[in-house]
Amino acid sequence: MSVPVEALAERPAPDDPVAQVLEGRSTRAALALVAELPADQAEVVALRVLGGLDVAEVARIVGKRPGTVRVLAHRGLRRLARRVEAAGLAGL
Amino acid sequence: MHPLLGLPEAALPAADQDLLERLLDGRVDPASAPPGYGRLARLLAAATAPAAPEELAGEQRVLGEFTAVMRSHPPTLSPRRTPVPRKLLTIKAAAAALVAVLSIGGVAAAAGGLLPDQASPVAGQAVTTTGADAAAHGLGKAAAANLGGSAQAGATEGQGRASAVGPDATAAAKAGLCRAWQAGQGGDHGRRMEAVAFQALVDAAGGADKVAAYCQDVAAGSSADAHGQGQTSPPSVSAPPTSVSPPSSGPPADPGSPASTAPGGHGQGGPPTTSG
Repeated sequence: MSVPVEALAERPAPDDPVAQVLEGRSTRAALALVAELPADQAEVVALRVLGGLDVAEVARIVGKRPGTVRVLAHRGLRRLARRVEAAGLAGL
Repeated sequence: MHPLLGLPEAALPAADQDLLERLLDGRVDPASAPPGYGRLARLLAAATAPAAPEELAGEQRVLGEFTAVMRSHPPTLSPRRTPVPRKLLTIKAAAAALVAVLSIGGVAAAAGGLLPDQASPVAGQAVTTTGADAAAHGLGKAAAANLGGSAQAGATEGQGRASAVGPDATAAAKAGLCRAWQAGQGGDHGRRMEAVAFQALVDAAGGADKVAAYCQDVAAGSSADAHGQGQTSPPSVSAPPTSVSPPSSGPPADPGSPASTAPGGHGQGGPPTTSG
């Protein structure tokens, strides 16, 4: 096995999307985690990250104010951060 | 604190907001990310990385559709008078479809038959009964499942769900696809028909001419949200109204629906089938 020791310690389950993402082996798993967000956050995060669009562009697309887009994206990211951190702790 | 009030974000330090913006822009190297954000940076990097070879072709197809739309319609906005240029609607449709596809637990589902289990009987019914009748049944079941699913999602958030698959998936997918479809109402449906996700929507509706009827309840439930009412709409866009049964017209021929749709029965039994 060539998996680093710390990766093993953090791995909650073999097929957990967080584990797959942390091992850097699954685009799909990363997208699935984004899709777990509330729909409005997922839409904004997807457009910002996958589409590479800036806040103003996303605001035009989703029909919301730039400030709202920013808030939704930040909430989505912080939720994602909590998600992956919690998964790591659970595996220790 | 209620999420709709939007209060927490104001308390977020400017430095954190700046970091989040740099993460969104892909300007944070996972190796040098601040503590607590390394994994998030890795997640975002994985989300934008090319799909691994072993990942299914269907996933790549959907992602390819999404990125192709993005690239072919760069949102360099010309100063038009129209509220939202059509190409932005196309991008929005692609984004909504992507989110909808992902929300059913994996892009792979898009490769063959996007809408899961419940959609198949709906499509089957469309052959033997009217399309609108079948759509009403489908929406009723999906809406009922969605209500339970949404509550469950809120309760389990943070506990590390292993998958997004759940009873609410169909409703969420349908709502997202229908919203994306409706974004093109009066526009170039022909182009939209090419998208993988919309092919699945057409399959579920029972034909391209039945999509409008199939999506009608979703339209009633989320059209306001689709056009952006600021903060007034709830964070979840997936819930079509449960009242799919206005007691108006409709064929009295189908007693087989579950309790959620039985009382009013056949609410959508009228005009939608003739649209196209």
